[in-house]
Amino acid sequence: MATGAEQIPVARCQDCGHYFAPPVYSCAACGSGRIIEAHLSGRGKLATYTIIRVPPLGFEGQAPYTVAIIELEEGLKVPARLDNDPVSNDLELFTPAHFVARRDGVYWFQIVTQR
Amino acid sequence: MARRGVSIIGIGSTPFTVMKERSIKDMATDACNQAILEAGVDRKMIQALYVGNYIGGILEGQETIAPLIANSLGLNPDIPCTKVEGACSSAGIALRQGYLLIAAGVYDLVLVAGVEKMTSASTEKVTMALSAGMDPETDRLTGLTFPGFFAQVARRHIKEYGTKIEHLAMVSVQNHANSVSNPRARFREPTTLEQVLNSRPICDPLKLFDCCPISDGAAAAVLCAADRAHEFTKTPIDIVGSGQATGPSCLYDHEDLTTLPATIRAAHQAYTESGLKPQDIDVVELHNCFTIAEIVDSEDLGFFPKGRGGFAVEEGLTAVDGKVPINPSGGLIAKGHPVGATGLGQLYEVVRQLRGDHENQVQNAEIGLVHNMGGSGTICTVHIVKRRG
Ligand SMILES: [Zn+2]
Repeated sequence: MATGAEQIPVARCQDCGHYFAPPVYSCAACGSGRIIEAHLSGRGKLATYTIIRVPPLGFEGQAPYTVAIIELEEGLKVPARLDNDPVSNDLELFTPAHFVARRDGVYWFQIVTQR
Repeated sequence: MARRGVSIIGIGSTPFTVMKERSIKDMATDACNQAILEAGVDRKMIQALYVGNYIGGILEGQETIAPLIANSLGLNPDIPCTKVEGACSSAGIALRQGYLLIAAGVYDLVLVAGVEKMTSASTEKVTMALSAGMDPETDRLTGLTFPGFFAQVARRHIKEYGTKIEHLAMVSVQNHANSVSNPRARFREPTTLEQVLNSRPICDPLKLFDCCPISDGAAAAVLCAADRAHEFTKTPIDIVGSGQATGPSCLYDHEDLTTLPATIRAAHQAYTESGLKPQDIDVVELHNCFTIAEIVDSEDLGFFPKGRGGFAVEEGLTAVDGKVPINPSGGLIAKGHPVGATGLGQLYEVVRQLRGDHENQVQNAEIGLVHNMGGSGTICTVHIVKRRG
């Protein structure tokens, strides 16, 4: 069970300060090419999710799995996989979620279970 | 800027169903020949061809299909023949390219077509091919699919607006009822709420009957400068508004997870150009690749306030005899969705409605709207068409 959140690496424009889910190659807000890696708290909430039961090629062994969008407390929304097994439709939207790790370009999050 | 008027003078379509024995060239040639014959034009007079196609390269190993089709039809070799691709809105874009070139005064006669062949491939391969329309560096890495994209929209819509699972199911039931009389439809049997609700989960909360079936098919139209349309037909249908806009490439980049802004923008362009409002539209064919898409589109196109799309279906407002008849053809869900052909298949249905000879006719339909969408709400085209007189 997750207790704390890991800091989440994201992309940030050095000129206008805009945050993005990586990778980005230039700032879509101001056009700057000066993009750096920055870290946010890793705390967010479940904005929406689905359980993929019919996967595309390459993901057959993983189904069913949960794909989600997490809205970080700083406001940035990121695509994510939920580290929850078994999958469940009982997760309420806006439930807190913590960043766990970024593996092969994918953010993994855990739902924070309330006691 | 004053633009020259553009009219539709001929249409053609194959059924949108399982046709494993037919090739891309075969189906496209068929639909185009129907449109050319109906228009009564000499095919050598056609000045350009635009063809929409999405995944022929991946599924069939077939590219460069525009000249392939042009040669099959025997078009004039002097003319440009071009494939356009914009995921499931490929045919809507082909239509708009033809429209723009005639409106700009470059050509008088343009043939536009869309074609897709899907049912010979496995579901996994088709799902993978369709995912080619996603961002490969973000969304696609997570194993997201397009059904999964719309499932996430559905879950959020349900949470924010109290939309019910039954509302989604009602969309499916209505579309299946509508396609019973449509000979071009893949599904011709009515379905019940229970059947939809008890169908196999695909990506929760969407079930099998919330999803459009993959299909094979082609559709085409001959476009003509409005001031010359009388040379060919007594019943031209005028394109009075055309829009195309771009939305985010990924769902997480959408500010509002229950709205597809490309639809709002493209519709705004088409409404502004035509001087018409949502209340003026008599019949709609919109891009209901999934039941939730019909609900969201009907809101984004301005027919219902945000959050009321599901309730509108429940109240019968979108039925053939309702206030805003939506997808009397059966839509993508029941008529079928050969992705690169769909936009012109939708136009075909609306033109038949405006001519008053559709199998599931909306009484006295004069003005129609066609909404075609591609990718993660990434591309959208909207066309408003009107009967003369
Ligand atoms: Zn910037």
